[in-house]
Amino acid sequence: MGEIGRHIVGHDTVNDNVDTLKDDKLIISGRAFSSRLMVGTGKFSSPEIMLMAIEASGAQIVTVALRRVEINNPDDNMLRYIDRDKYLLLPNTSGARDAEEAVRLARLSRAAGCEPWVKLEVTPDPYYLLPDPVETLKAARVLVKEGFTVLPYINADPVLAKRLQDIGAATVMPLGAPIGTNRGIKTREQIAIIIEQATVPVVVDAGLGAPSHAAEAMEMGADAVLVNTAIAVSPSPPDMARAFRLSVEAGRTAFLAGLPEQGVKASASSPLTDFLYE
Amino acid sequence: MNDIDEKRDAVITKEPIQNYRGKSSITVSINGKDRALPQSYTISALLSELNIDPLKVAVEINKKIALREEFNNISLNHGDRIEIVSFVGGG
Repeated sequence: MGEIGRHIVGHDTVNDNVDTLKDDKLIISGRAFSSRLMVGTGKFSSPEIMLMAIEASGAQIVTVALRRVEINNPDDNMLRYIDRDKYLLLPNTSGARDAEEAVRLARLSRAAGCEPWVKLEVTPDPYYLLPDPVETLKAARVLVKEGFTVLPYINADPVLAKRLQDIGAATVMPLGAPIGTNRGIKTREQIAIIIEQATVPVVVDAGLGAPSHAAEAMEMGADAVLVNTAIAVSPSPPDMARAFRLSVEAGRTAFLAGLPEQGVKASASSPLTDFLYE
Repeated sequence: MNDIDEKRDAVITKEPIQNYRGKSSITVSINGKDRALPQSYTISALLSELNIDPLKVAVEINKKIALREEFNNISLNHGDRIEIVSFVGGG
């Protein structure tokens, strides 16, 4: 595997005397999380690698999907692997093409023993997997009424984000780029408006392909990010998970510290050496 | 690998029919596949026959969710469409 596959997991995060993030909590629906990185569990090469990556990511919220049990292999089940005392399992509604299917999946997840939290995804178009705003809003209304904590996956549409917030969504999850594309935050301007206007946490989801993308989202003031593909398909998922963890912490710390104004003209950062010119 | 799968399939789909010969049996659809079962078979009995841990799945009968607490009490009927679902990796 060489350099790239070498596990450097285990070293802890930079341990400064000043720890801005010590009391910095992400609050979703009244529940506090110290990690602002959520991770998905798809596309990993094995459950063992997945578990190492989740551990290294520091995530406390882990997404899963719902599928038919394989009658010949009924033990292939995420509930076997993920310690639910340690992680909040967040089932998604992936595969749903309309509100009705999404609601059905959410109810099944709850019946399967999950807490009533759901990452609401309605993606009728299999090519770009872009979320359907009308069906998402419709499903969110039903699920909120049924007592679900609803985290809707949306395009980076500030008006939709407000509508969802108004009907009781627990977060909004705007996409940076289509799912699995690893292209980073292509929706920057719109996400900035969502962040400015949101009263619920903004979780940037989808398209984050590198730790720098996650750091960018956090610097912008996003409350959290969700990453799956970039970690899962890395030659060393645990290392990549750790890299994302560090970048989320870096971005969040920078946001809290306050980023400087951008300018056009240079402004010297060294004192002017007047004597040279006298 | 395929051989093993086919064998398992054979055990699961064919043996019950033989076992139930003589008694009246019903046909239900389980995750899209037809299957013969004895009459008055409960969800619990079905899951146990399939080696499925009832605490790790959700069951839907004709698009209505069966509550876990009711698995022992709900009998399957001829023509029921049963979905048994569980969690897999996803983002």
